[in-house]
Amino acid sequence: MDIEKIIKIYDKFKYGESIYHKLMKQRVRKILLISTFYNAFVLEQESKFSEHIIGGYHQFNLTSIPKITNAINASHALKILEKDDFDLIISTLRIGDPGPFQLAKIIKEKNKKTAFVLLFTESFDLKFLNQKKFENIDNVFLWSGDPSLFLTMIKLTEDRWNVEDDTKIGGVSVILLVEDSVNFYSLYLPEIYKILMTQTQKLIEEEANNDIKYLRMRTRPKILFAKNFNEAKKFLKKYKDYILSVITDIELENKRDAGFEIIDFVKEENPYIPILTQSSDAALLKKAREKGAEISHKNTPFVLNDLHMFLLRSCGFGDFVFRDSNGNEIAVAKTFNEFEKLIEKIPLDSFKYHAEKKQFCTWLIPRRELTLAKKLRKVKKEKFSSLEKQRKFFLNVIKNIKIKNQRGKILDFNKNNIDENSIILKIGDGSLGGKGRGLSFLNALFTVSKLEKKFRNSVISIPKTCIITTNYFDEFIYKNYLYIDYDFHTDEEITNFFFQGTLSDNLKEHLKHLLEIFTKPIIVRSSGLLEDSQFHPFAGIYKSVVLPNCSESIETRLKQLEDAIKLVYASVYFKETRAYIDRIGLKLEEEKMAVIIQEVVGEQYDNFFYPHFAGVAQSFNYYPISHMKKSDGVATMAIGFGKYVVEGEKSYRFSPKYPQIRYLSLDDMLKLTQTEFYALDLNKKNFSCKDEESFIVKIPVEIAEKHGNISQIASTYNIQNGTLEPGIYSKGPRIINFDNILLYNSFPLSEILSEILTFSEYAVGTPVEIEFAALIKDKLYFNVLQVRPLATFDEINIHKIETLEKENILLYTEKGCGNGIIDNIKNIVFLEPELFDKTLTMEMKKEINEINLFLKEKKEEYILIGPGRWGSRDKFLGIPVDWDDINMVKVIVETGIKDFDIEPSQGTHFIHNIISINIGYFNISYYSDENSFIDWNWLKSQNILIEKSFLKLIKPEKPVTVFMDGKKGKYVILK
Amino acid sequence: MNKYAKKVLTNLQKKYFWEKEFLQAVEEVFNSISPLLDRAPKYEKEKILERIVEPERIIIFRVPWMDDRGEIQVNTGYRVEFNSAIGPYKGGIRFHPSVNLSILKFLGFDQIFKNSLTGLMMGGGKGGSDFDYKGKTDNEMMRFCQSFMTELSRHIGAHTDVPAGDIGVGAREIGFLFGQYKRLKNIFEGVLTGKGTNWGGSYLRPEATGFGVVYFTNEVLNKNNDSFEDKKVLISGSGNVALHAALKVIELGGTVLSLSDSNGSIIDKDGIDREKWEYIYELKVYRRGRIKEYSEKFGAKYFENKRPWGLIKADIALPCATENELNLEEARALVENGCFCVIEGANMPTTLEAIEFFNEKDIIFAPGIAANAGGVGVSGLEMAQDSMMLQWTKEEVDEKLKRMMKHIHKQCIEVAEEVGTPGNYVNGASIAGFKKVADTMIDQGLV
Repeated sequence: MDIEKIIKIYDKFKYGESIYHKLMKQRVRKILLISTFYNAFVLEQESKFSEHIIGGYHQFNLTSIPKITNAINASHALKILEKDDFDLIISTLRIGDPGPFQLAKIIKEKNKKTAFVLLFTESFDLKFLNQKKFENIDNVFLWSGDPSLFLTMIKLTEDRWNVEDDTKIGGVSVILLVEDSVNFYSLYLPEIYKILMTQTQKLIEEEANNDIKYLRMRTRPKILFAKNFNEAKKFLKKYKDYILSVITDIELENKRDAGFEIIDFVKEENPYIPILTQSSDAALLKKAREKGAEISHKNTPFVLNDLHMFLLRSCGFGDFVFRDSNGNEIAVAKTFNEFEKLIEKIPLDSFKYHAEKKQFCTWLIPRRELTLAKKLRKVKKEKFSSLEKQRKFFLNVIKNIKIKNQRGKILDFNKNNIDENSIILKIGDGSLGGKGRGLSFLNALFTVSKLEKKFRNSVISIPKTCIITTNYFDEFIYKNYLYIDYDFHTDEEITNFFFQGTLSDNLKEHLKHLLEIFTKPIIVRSSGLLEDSQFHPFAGIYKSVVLPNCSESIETRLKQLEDAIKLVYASVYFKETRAYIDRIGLKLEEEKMAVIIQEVVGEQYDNFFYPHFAGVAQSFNYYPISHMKKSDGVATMAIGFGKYVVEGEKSYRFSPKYPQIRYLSLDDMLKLTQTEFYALDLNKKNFSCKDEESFIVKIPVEIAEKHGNISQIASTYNIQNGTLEPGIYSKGPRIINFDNILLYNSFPLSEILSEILTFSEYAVGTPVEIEFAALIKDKLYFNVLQVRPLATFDEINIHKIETLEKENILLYTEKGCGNGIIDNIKNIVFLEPELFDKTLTMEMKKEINEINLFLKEKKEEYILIGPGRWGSRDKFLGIPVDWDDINMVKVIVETGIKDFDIEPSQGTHFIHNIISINIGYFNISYYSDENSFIDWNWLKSQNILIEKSFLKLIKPEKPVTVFMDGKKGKYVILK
Repeated sequence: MNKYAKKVLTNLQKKYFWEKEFLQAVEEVFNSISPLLDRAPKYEKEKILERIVEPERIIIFRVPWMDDRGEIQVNTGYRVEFNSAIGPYKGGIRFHPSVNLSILKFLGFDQIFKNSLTGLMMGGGKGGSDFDYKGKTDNEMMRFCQSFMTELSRHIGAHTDVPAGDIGVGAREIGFLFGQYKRLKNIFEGVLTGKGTNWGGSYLRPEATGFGVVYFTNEVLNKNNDSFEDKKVLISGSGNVALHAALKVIELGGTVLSLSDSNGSIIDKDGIDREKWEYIYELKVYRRGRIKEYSEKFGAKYFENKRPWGLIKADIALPCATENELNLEEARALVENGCFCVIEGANMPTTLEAIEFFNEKDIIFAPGIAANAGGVGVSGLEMAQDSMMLQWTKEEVDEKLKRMMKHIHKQCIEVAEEVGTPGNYVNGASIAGFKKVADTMIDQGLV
């Protein structure tokens, strides 16, 4: 994924749904106000013009406050225009030479898009309307003293620019105002804008994020303004699918009944579009009413009130009032959820009544359901054979959009409003904890990046999750008075204290309801405040409990869940946690525990429950081979639960960037392939919540094969021919190497992993590790369980290699693999390069085997240093040890051989052991330099415990420590 | 060492002082054939040793290829066509960074005598490249193999030189190499062995070594007017060789008491019958479980970290696991428990001290070079099938294998007697291979 794409995702993540972001693209950013000193003085005195513009923008959460430049007359304006461009020019009438009409012409010739508005400051000026040509003037207004007129000029200009795109992209509605009286619309338009903005703002008040608030303001209906029938007709034709309502004067341009033509035209297109007609002639209004329009008398004080009420009704700002076919009210929906429920219940004739009037869409648009409205708008009723089918379709669209909208959000758990589709629920008002934050972040990130759309046949998500926030932890400790000096108690005693405590009734009540929707096995995990911090990885420190959650009695399930939560709480005070928190310089009192309850990813087969495969992927690979780079990342996967991978068992390892490159040869794959896997045994009787994994069992891979779950995952070794065949079509030993997926791309798993690793690393700002579990059905259901910063040497940060004194270093190299610190190594086995004879390596192998056995009995580990490739199949190239000959080793060092250039083995002979047991592998050149050296003299001067013909076992006075900075590629053994 | 051999070796050491691996192999062979050289001056007269240590031809060539990233890579390819006295050059191709001329000469030299011992028409050769097969994708592997074969194809052929697989060259690579050869030459012929059974490969390859060991042992018993009937047999290992050896012992009426893996051994005093064998095969080959599970299933004894030698009374021991798995101490324990015959299924599983001890105690001992030649032999059988353009059934191959092992045994016995060490299979096996080639070279004149 390239940086541009990531930035796009970041923008979406920041600004929310991209559809809002795409609206109102064209803005008035620079205004040139041309007015004489006098007019400027009047405007400023009467309206505090500039302040009002700025104030108006703030009041309505509008962004892009325009910059205003003043010109004192036309010639001044022309000078300014020579240097600068403007979006909107507002000119008073008397501006010297050239006059505004000529000026407008000059400006339009220069830039057709620039809007030119003429502002009359006195009614007297209106007489010019009949004398001058207005073809270059976009609008004329009369100053009434209402400062919001300026905002109107700006918004009207912007609406004109954006209406075409916004209707197309966002399905935004349009209100058409047809009026030719300058003094009337100069009063009326500012009112319309005020009402629209205020109402839109009311609907989004609950939005916590200011950025989103600004963006949502863009969904308000656009206003189109026409002065005559032809102009109106043009708009009505062009935007017929988006017209929300029409407000029209009846008498236009001296034509007494032009308004009726408009009414007829609108009614012909769509008889349900609300029309408000205005006139000062009661007879005309009467006729308009007969034609089905609403009316408002211009010469009454109610004209603005009429407008207000009309807009509330026709723009869907109020509650949705369901009516029967006769227009009688039958129900009212205040919220979207109520609306959804009522749609399902109302009689079909009511549904028909509203659908035909397109009132559903009208109501949905200002409620942020733009996509829904757009989708519904496109569907023609003819498409459905019955009303019931239309309603079903309608409900289905609502449901899908709702699921989509809820993705990426954390919803408060509410027993009365449990939505099964919500992915992350939250109980409590406290913090989500480290893991909880991580999950929520990930969920949001996945939603905005629309990952599932990028990859065919795949659904990418996180499992259904509920987070109990930290306030319940505080409450539990407080309520049960668990202020104990934990240093004086064992973990078991601490667990007992916590098990004796009780959770609050309120939480229990919530949990009980939660279990009504969480019906699969669940995992209860810790989410401490300090956990998964970028600098202190807590992996494996706190407890997690897997529950089968399958008892018929909800009370039993609830009890198990409560116990699991208590165990997670108790683990904050366990010995290992206390020691770890102390070691990284934090305080135990700072820790507060949130709890994550997550549905386990998997399916049930017989009495077993497991995911088809699971694993861990890291964006940084400490053990790259071939032309892989460390930054290409690595993944390790296995059938069943990821525990198999995490515990370093025989899983399949590959780089998502190069899935074709195998870490192991075919022979090694045969030996080192997965033969067993972890599953939940739902029938298991003996169960204790004190035991984290009492339900997890290890079973043979054949069981998964019998369940029909390995055809995409396994390959078959053809014994007769010695070949590997992807799939399980023939009989033969199975090799779990995911060939069908990784090599033959039956599902785009490596692309998914690459993408998630790349953008998670960007998002977190450090190399990351993700845990995942997946199901293979009609699609690949890929679930990310966790994202955490990858522990790197720097973050463990105990020593800086650069600061070490050379005399304290036994070995330094920049060729190697491994990461972290291995301390307290008491033994070193080495072979001096001078003693190496490539024709006698079998003898050397025998010696090392004996020394290894000796140390194995003492259960002591060692560092192995010797020339050539350790474990080479070619006995002339190094000592051809098998793993069993050296299985107590913690660090393997290959040193160079004089006059014999051997490519380092990269530890490939023992790659599985090196990776899973985190063994260090270093390579040292025969000829020392500052990047690669070893202190042979020091080795030779140490106490010799065993001396054989070739190899020596030494025991230094004090144990040595090994530092491996896998990220920077620096490896040190300190004396 | 025979004086003539010593002289040739000394000269060789001067000439090729840097080829340590090769020189070591020559020394070992010269030591083992010294009893023959002592008795047969014709070899010195014909300068057979000087001729036999010099490969008939060595081909070294450039192998350019392109990796997946579009980068050009260059490796060195080799084919040492060592000796074609008794048949086309035959020997594996090795792809490994360690490959160099010295190593290939060492391997090719040994191959001459291994092939000869089978009685089939196979000369000796070896080839390969310093290409590291690890971390390469299928496509890279294919491109490399195609480039390698593009040059090699000029020098090989079904009746000239028939390479096989070795380290880094498995069934997949043989397929790529064969495909390119066929494309270049427009001939479908048995130019390689180790092919898939769909396209000219032979059946019974996985079984051949294990079955061969038992056929050889059966010959040993027959020579002593004995058979597998009622014989208790200890077998180590549980891989291909051990499992198929066990199966054949069961078929021939013997009782298999043990098998092992790297964690320990099981001893089943009631014997592993066919049904139990099926279980173990499933366990080790399909499930890749530990042998310990057998003891749990059938109530046999399990000895952790122990090899089966001397854990129970037995007549015959077939070490089929790995190198140096039968040491002096274990040899003593075996003999104390009634073992009278040790036949090697693995390569060099018995330590030198243990072999000496068996000699002292007149225990029948046959080395792997003869007893496990079934694996090499099946390559020869593949060549035979290819030259006739037909494929034998498993049973037919098995029959030929049996005959081949009988022949090897006969040669060992005859040659051992010829050199004055009757019954010494070590001498017999080492010398028989050489003798056949050397005599043929004399027959064919100075070529």
